[in-house]
Amino acid sequence: MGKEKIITSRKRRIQQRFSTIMYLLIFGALCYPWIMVGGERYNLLSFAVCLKTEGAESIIERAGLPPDPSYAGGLSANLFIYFLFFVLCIIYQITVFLKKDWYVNMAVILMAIMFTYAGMWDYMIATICSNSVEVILYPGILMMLSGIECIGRKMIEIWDREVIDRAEYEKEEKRIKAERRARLYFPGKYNRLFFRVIWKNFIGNLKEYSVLLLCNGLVFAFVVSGFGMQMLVKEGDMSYKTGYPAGAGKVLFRGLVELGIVGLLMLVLLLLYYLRKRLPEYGVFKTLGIRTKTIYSCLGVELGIGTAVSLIFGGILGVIMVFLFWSRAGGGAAGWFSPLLLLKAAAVMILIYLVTFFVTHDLFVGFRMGSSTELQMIKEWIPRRFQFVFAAAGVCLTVSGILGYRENVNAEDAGFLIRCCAGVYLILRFGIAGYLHWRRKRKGALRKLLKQHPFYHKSRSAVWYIFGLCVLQTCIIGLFFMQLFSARLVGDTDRLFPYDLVLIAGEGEEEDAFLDKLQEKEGVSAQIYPMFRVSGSDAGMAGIASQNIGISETTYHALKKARYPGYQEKPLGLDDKGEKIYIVHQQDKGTEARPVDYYDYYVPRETPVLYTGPVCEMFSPGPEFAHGLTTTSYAIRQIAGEEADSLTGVLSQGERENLIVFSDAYFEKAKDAWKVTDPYWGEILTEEEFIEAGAEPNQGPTRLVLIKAGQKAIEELQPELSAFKERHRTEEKYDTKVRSSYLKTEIKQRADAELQMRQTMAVLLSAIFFAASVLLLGIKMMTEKRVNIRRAQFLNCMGMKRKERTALLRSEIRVYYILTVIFSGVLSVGLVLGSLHARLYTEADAERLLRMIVPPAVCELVLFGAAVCILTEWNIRRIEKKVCEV
Amino acid sequence: MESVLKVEELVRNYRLPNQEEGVIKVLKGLDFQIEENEFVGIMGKSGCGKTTLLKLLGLIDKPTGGRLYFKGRKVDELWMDELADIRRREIGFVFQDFYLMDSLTVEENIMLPMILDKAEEEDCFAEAEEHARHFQITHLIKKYPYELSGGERQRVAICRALINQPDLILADEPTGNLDSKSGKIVIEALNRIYREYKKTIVMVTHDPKVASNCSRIIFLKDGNILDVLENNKGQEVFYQEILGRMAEL
Repeated sequence: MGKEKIITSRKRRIQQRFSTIMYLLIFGALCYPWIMVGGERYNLLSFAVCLKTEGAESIIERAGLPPDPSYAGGLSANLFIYFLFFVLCIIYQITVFLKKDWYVNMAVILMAIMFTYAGMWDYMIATICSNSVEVILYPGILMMLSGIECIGRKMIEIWDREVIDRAEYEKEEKRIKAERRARLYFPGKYNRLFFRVIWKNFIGNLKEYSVLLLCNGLVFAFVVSGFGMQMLVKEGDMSYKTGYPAGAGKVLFRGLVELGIVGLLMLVLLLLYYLRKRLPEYGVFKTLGIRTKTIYSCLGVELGIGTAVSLIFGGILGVIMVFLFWSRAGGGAAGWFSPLLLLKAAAVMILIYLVTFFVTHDLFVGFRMGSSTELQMIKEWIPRRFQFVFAAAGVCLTVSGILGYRENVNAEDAGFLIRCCAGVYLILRFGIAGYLHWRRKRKGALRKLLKQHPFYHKSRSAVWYIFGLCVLQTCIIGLFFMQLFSARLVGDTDRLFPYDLVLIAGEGEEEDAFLDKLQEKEGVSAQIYPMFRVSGSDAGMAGIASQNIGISETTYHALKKARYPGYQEKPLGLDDKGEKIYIVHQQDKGTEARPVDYYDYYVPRETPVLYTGPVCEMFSPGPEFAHGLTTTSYAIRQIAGEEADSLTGVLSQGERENLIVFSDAYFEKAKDAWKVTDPYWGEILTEEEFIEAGAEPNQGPTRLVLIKAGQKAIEELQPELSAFKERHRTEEKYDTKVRSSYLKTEIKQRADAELQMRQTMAVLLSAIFFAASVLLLGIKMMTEKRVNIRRAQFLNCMGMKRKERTALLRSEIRVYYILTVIFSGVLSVGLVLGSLHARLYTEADAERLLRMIVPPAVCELVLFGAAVCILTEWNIRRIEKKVCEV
Repeated sequence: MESVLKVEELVRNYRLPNQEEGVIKVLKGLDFQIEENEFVGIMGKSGCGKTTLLKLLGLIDKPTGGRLYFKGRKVDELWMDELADIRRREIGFVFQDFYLMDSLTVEENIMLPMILDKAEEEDCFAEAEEHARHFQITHLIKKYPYELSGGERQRVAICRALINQPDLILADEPTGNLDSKSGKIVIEALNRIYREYKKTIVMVTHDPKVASNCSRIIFLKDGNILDVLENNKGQEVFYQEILGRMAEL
């Protein structure tokens, strides 16, 4: 008892000393002159004195800020918080000396957190200091010191006990280790027979192992080919050199994501199947007493060798695939191949493996796949109530998904596809359940019992398989075929670029001289139209605001006439206030729909907020800028009409450089209004204020120059073009994807690469998804093999003929196929028509595309049907062989 | 005499998917012990927990509650690898569906426990040959399990169960998949093991004729011990007693 008392008082002394030291540091920090105003440093006390004697206005003036009465209140409040903190520190130290545990230090920490947070508010000390970052961070030091004191005190309190516990724990650990070593002593080495047994056991499953390796290899080959193509795009596509929108890269990235998902799905399915086949065999070893470490080593070596082999095989295959793409794309420098390519791909593959193992493990444990067949045969839950309500909800979800998908403003968003899929799942899950219950209540239900039993008994698994097949088939027809044939519809990319050179020019003498020279030059035909920039919301990290070309209605008709000589003018229905606009999405038919104000979060995309003039960096349509929306330059617009066409050229595939058409009256008004609008905050300024704010009045483009010229003439103009680019360097620097000049030869090269990539990826993805569909069905058959064999044996014993038994198996798979065809067919039609609507296809183009897409879609479904038949017959043969063995 | 197995309030529950009751209580607190050189039969209706009990006695599964002692050692205090060592060296298993590996020959299947025990190669071959000779399957030694009849497969399984000279043999319906002739051969083999090799045998069976070879029968009903019958009045009387008791199940 006495000893404990001594320890306690010793602890108290140490705690007291520690607290005093820490709080001396805190007081020291409080006394440090960390506030810097007008070149002078203050600590809290001197700053408070200064505020009292000089007044807030004087301090604000010295800080070089405009006078604002709010500062006086803000600074006083800030000082008051510090004062409270100081008082709490003093109180705490008193309690420490009085040896009272009143936890005042917790209040000190809370206060420190509060003033750290308060330091970031407006009108606080940090806002008037020249070292504001330092001032904002400084309270953090006080918070940290008070935190260390608190934790330190606690640690001192428990230190002795911890040391004793630790020693005891280590002693116990040591004892257990020694005991374990002694009890589990297993000397000697496995003899040659052991390796023979393991090898023979492994060889017995070579077929399944090969399928797993093949699939692993294929997925790795796709990853390698993806990275290879990315390098190839880097080498060949100007987008990486000039900063043009990286169309091919984007297509590739999207394709790789889709590939990754389906690759993962295939790997998980195969690994599940493989483990289900393999683990019972390892179960024999386990029952016979093999050591855990040995069994894991065997499995590890098995999977490790498999991984290595598939990486080698996949690497070679991937390189061959890239080589084929490279040679098809016209060859060139083979700079795409480097060891880095394989290393990057291997890193991604290892990530995929890790995810695969985790998912497989969870599924295996969650669904008790390692259990015996009897457990696997337990009836799955089937919905019994509200089936038709949920099925109807599924229909609504699917329809709403398709309706959303067909809107241009939704940019063919994947979210709508997910909604459609969720709807289809509900229809299948509850629709099938409802149908089965309805059938069971009808007369003669027993006659259909055998046929419908697999769906009734394993309804969840059956629905998941059908759903998986539907999704894969819908992706093939509704997405990849659409991607492939819409890209083919584009045809020769030359038609997308009616002009050899497009300049987005501004004002000034140098600019005038250059344009005059252009017009006078032999072999050059230049058209100049008035324009201004039209920009969307700047969403910061999410995406830089899109910059488009604003033109008048007259210019629009002129451009149309220049493009289509027989064009008949029709009014566009625009208003003088500039609220109604007409949009020309300058993109090809193969590109996904893209609204002009894609990153706008505040107002619906149907009513985009578009600013006339260059991008306004800070302005957003949020409530705090509502005043700005009343000016000429900033307004919420109504879309009076829109089309997808190329009048100046597909300069940015609809992401940027679309044509925004305003009425002539509004255009006249707006073309000068932006020149007096603060490009940072969206406020109207006088010219003097404008210059004072650090902006240049003539900073944005005003003229759209469309040039037709021969290659030779353009080459001769290179020095002037370089000077022109130099003059517009600031604009190009803001958004590297928006240029001041667009040369047809360069953009066409990018468009060609993008189309090539689009088609290649579509073919590749279709093939892989098709393989995944067949694999999914194959895995279903393989996993249900044992159960089907038992059923066939039983039915055989009951006197059922072979013909009847095989018809039963065929009818089950037929239901899978028919449901897949119906659902994927309907969904694909919806998605294709939705895409046509969203991309603003003309009727003629839509008809052409449908003519192109329907025959291959039908062929694909027939081919899938053939694959299903082959698989079914193979499955029947395997099952019947076992029945005959009995 | 030391007890090989001792069971106190042994409980085993299972949680099955889609079962509204949540937990299925298979064994509800069993108490018994098995001495050295005993031939104990376990009988009961399907689903009464016979195989579950055998798995627990064979240290393949772990009990949910109660205590299980193997040769005086409390099983739940043993590490996984210790249990594996016991299964490999001290217990031999004979299953209804043989549990042989189709990718290995008969000889390799018999040698498997010795191979896993890091025995010398020559010893493995010698022991396998010796046991094969004992059970008249020498001519089958290079064949694969799928080439054998049910009775032959079960004899291979018995050879495998005996090769490491275990003290305890656990047999789960060893004659369940066999015709009467093969069943007779297998039961004779087990009798030899019991009488000549002086091993302890625990056998689960449905067949009263087979069970009448045992020295003691434990009857299970709904996870509890219904009765225990001792064979001390000759096989035929014992057989009649078993039949009588089976009628009560």
